[in-house]
Amino acid sequence: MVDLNPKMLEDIPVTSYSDNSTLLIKTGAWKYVQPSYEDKLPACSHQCPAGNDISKALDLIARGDVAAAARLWRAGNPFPASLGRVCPHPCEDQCNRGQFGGAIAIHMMERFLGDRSLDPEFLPKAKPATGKKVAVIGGGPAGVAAAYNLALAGHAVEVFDDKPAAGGYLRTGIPAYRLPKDVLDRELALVEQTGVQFTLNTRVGRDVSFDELRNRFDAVIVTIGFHGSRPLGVPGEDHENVYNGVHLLERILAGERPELPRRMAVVGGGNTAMDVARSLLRIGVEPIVVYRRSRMEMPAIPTEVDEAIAEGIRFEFLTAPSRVIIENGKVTALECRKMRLGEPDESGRRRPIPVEGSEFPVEVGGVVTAIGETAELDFLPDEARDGWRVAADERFVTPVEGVFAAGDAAFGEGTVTAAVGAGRRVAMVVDAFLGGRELPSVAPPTQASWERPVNIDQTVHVEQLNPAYFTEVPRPEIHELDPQTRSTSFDEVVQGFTEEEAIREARRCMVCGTCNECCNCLFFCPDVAIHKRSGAFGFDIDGDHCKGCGICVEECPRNALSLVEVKS
Amino acid sequence: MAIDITTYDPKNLHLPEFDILHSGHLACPGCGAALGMRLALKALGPKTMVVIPACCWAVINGPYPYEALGVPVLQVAFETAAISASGIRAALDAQGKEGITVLAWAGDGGTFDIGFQSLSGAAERNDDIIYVCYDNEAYMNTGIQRSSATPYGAWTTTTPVESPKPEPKKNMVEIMAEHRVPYTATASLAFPEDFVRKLQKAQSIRGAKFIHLWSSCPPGHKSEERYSIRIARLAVETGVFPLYEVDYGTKYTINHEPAFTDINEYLKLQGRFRHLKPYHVENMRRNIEWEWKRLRAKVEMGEKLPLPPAPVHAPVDEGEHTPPAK
Ligand SMILES: Cc1ncc(C[n+]2csc(CCOP(=O)(O)OP(=O)(O)O)c2C)c(N)n1
Ligand code: SF4
Ligand code: SF4
Ligand SMILES: [Mg+2]
Repeated sequence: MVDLNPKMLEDIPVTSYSDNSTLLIKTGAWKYVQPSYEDKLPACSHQCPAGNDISKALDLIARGDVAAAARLWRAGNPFPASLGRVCPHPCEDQCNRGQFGGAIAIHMMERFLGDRSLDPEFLPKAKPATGKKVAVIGGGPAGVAAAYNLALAGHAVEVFDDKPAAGGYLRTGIPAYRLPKDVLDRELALVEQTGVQFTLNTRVGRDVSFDELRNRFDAVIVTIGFHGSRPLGVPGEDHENVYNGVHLLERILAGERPELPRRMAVVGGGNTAMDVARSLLRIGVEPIVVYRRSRMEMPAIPTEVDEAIAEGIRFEFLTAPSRVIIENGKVTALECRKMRLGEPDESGRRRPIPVEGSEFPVEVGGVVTAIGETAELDFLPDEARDGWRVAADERFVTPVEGVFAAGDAAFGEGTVTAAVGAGRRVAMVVDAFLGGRELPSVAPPTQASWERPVNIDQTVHVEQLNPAYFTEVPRPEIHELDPQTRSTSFDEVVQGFTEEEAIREARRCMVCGTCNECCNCLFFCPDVAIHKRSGAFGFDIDGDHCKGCGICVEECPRNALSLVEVKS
Repeated sequence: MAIDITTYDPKNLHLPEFDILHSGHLACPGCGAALGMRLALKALGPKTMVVIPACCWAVINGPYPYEALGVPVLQVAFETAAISASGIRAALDAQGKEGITVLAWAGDGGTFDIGFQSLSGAAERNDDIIYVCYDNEAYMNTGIQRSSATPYGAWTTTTPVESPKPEPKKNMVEIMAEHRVPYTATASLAFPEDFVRKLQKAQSIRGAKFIHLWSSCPPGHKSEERYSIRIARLAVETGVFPLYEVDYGTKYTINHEPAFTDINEYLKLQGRFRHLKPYHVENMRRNIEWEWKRLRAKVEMGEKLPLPPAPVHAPVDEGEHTPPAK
């Protein structure tokens, strides 16, 4: 053994010979910045109103662990099988893969995982009972999401709904060709498994008073949705063959086949209008969609419009009704006026302006209105109401002590997905309230409920990825029933992914902002300072030898590391 | 334990998992030469003996009595990397030891300049060694003096910004290939799988092998430490440093078709090029174009040429070898 600290020249042998490892030299002391593993929010999840942990789940599928991915997806979202079918998937618009071959078909993955987890074994473990009781008014997506998350947090939850079955708009507003009813029923059955009690056919304010609920429960959450439809405001609209779209759709979807005119105008450009038109087509009515702006401004999900057009539905764009023409007590036509587009209004869309003298008849035997919806709030005390909506602040707290509100009736986000996200968020606030904790100034974002730590203040867009590590891989084709078959039946139009297709698609995911153990950091470290954890996920950085060069941070393809200052 | 490398994108790396190089070596943060050695030892394995002449790596390996390599290392005089490696091979042969790889690992100064005659000799004798030149394009260990590997236009302390280097870089791979050694190749830190494959191919061939590894050097190139791999990648993608290999000086193979990214992307990350005027950059562009024409022509020529003929040996039944007449 040689002297590790030779002081005298004589201590060094004539032929010097080193046999002590430099591991004893702590070169890590040189650094002033250091790498640190830090997952960030991928662009997709940043955009997902329901708060799905997309990148982690897709990574699990890519590794072949479909069950773990399905469990993760269902952890805070009770409706993956339903949302995968009905969500307009804003996540895909932002997906970074979009620039490398086409966005990941995230909604198809959600549907696949939802269908895979329709069994109680996929439910998360509930926390021990707290003894607290929560009433949820309205069994739609927001209410059920809140109930599900609160039940899993250990609270006793009872959901009140005036309909014979829960599900809200998922049941009454979405046709079976988009969401088969047994899928919804099975997801609701799973929610029941978590201990949520559904009290149906019970309207608050009629069958049970609001005050009684406040007395019996520690917290009340109002999650009623929109149920009425705004009037057209044109002469002749009280004729019996002018229908409220929301109510007509509810009846058709419940299996009723009312006597309807052979040809009907559907007024509106939103999802309800599309659902009404496509449902009418399926029961043998010829619908004509009348919309006052152009295709581009339509608020409906673009693929829904594409599908409606493919099914041969006629559209009258830049057209607004001016009166219902009635002859001998019968509707013979809807008189319309041509519109042109002016300056953008508050919604950012260009305002339609009537063209003088452009009236023309659209020959129909009936009209269906689908131009925006309203909530029915009469049961609430005055201070809990603010015009057409429930008064609630950014924490979902209403002016009435212990009463919270979320979903369409409070904020009018307008999609089922946003309602699920609101349910998840209000559950976090109510859980804090029931636990006697201080309420946040703003309700925490959905991702705050994720189990894995993520820096939600940073979103990984394509500029934050290292493009050297990604090659273009095209988006797969999504199979649909052909328009001929589907226009005559309520069978599901879009066909789900097989497991093989799902795994292949998951492998296209770039797992943005999320460590997937690709090992680039480890392989590129000039100082051999990164080590794979044995038997556990992830890596350890040897602080004694990391010099803080930052190569690992730069060469991480997906931005799952950050350089942070060394604290002295 | 096998590292679970999840292979989603075809670009994920597949490299040997073990490491022979130790942490605690004295390379600067972000040193490409240090990463190069780490990869070389991964590729060649523990039965390797290394010769290191005077250069940064002589310091990186640690002060007496420490060392970082984890395999036997002989540190030798500046100009003697190749001849020392040849000597080790001769000694191993004399002792009848087989299955050991002898690796000479030298800088560009020690290869292109002062060590050139000893390297040329080892190549001519076709001594069974692998010679890797980690090329950081200047004498870095002594404070950034130009070498014949320094590129046109670059700043060094001996080619100041007022008169940056006027000559282009010497083409060492072609020179070595023209020795007709069995294997010559270029390599990049940004393409570690390619580098490892080339080392393993070299290891499988008897004779003299030469690999030219382009190496980032943050203090010498005046670049950010974290960009060491990005710059190495851009050297390849801009066409500045082609990735190719040559068998028997004859068969040229291009290993990566570059994107021919704008050379400014490469230059702007390095302070040593900051003073360049547009005409300098234009000269670089033209040179890249010319070099690539030459390289492609060599590939084409190689396709038409056979590899060297198999040797014919003295017939066994001819009895005693007759010495030539006096
Ligand atoms: C004969 C001789 N001349 C000069 C030196 C001083 N010296 C030591 S390392 C070095 C530069 C080496 O440059 P290079 O081979 O490119 O390796 P780098 O330091 O760049 O890694 C010099 C000039 C020496 N050791 N021996
Ligand atoms: S590639 Fe994957 S993680 Fe990245 S945005 Fe798309 S779906 Fe999300
Ligand atoms: S590459 Fe290695 S030395 Fe450089 S910062 Fe990362 S861990 Fe530290
Ligand atoms: Mg050098």
